[in-house]
Amino acid sequence: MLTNNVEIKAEKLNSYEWKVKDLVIDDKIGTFSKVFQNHGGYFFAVDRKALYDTMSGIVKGRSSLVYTNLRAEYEEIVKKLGLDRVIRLDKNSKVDAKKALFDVEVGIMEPDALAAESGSIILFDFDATKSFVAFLPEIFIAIADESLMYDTVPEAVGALIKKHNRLPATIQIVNGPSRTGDIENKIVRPSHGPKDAYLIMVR
Amino acid sequence: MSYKQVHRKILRALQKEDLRKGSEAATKDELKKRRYAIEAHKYSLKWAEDVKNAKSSMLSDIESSVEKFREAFEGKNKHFYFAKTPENLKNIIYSIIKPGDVGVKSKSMVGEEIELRQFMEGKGIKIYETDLGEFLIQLANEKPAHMVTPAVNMSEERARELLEPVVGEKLSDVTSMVLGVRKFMRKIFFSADFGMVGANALSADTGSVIFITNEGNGALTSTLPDKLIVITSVEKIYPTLLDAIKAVTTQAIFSGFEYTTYVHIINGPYDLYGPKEIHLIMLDNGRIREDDLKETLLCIKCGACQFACPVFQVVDGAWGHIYTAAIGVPWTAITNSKDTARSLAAFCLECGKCREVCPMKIDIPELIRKIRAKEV
Repeated sequence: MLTNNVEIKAEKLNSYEWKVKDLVIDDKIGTFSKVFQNHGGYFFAVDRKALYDTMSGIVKGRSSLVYTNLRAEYEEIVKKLGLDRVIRLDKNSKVDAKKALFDVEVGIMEPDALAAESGSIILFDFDATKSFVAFLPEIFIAIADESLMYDTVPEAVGALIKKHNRLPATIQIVNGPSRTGDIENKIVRPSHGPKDAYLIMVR
Repeated sequence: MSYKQVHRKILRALQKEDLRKGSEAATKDELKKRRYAIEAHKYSLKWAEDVKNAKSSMLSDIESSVEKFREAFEGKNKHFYFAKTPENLKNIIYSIIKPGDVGVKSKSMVGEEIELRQFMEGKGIKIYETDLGEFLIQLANEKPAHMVTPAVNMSEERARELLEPVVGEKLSDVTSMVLGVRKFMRKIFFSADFGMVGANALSADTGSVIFITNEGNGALTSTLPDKLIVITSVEKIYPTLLDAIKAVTTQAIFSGFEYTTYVHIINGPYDLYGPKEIHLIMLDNGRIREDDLKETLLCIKCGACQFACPVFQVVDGAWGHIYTAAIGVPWTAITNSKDTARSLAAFCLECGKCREVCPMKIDIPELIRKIRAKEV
């Protein structure tokens, strides 16, 4: 099947000044943590050994989970969590996504980048798997390490374009859990997206 | 609308004490949030200048900008249409979807401008507004009061009256209302035949569509149905993807959100799941012009001028037709009727607060004066 992804002259995009000159952040992780939590997200910085316990605590009481874009080590941890229904979502898994994900409770993935200034989780999504995992479940968990951290969203997007040498079908930027204030400005979570958004920073 | 009709609408709004109190409280809150957001992100002032410059360059030759965007956008399963008039757009829509189709829609001022939902419903196409404010407006059969928060003046009590019959259960508070709508809408998202979204910005270099939400409704609308329709307008085009990202960030900050929860940048259909085809319809409806009203096209629809306006603070959407308050006057002149715009212009207090808060530094009072004086 021919790809529908956009093939853009990456050299042109790579020539843009993606770095925001006056915005250099010394404590990227600290800034990300503060902003992400201000938006209602949860932030954990853990050692590898504590990853299982951390995830176990988050998914306690839940019975269904979908994951995508996880390295083998994290995939093993997900399977160890022992949830009743665990769905791997990628081009090889042949899942009827709409049927399988209607009531799935947890979504887990490794994102493509983080941006400190805005507390953003950035996804380069070619096949909708990352979008489904990030938007459909009630709980969204992103597992990252420091190497994914940039100062700002433009800088992160520019770096990802350079890395992939093309644009994906979508770039999704997630700044926290879904919310609405449309009735008398009273903020309620969730609205249609996840109720809780977690960023686990693995040291 | 005649002067008398606008006058009557405003008088009715003034008599509703609940509405007045709600509007005053909401607008003061929004202005405070806006001040905080700009203070917390000082670079937004420089970015606002960059966005204005980028936009101005595209607006200097809108037709070329549209052509550049079209060239970058069109591709396999990506279809571009240009609609000169609202009727053109509606006919195009009717060629893409059919009676009996069910759609989910996220917020679009272009859609409101041309009463698109009403047109589709009239043709037997069921369409659900998925932004909560827009959903409430849909149920109430009203027009949006504000570009960013369409139901800004609606009380909790009124929202309950509208939602309980739809959701089918008693809703004790705002939380239960929101959760009730989430449950109701979820089935519809998963079974919809098409999703329809607006655009906050477009990029001419990559043919990308960018839109922002807080609720996640845009995410589900743009990823679940097999068909995605984008309705947008000519002034949303920026030269580059970087300009467009700056534009939506500036819009969010000057709206008082700091950052919206979600930013979606659509470049094409997915490889595996999600929409198999994307249709983008770009509307003119009076925007391609060379008179003084052209300055209006710099507007990034942050809604800051609406919250700053002393008339809006007391009567909110009553001062307007579809576009409301200060910037609503020139937008009405462009997209609807100069006569209606003149009727609206009569109620401007000429305080200049709209110009002070506008990130694009549009001289809104001067535009209103010219409309009133029939100079445009």
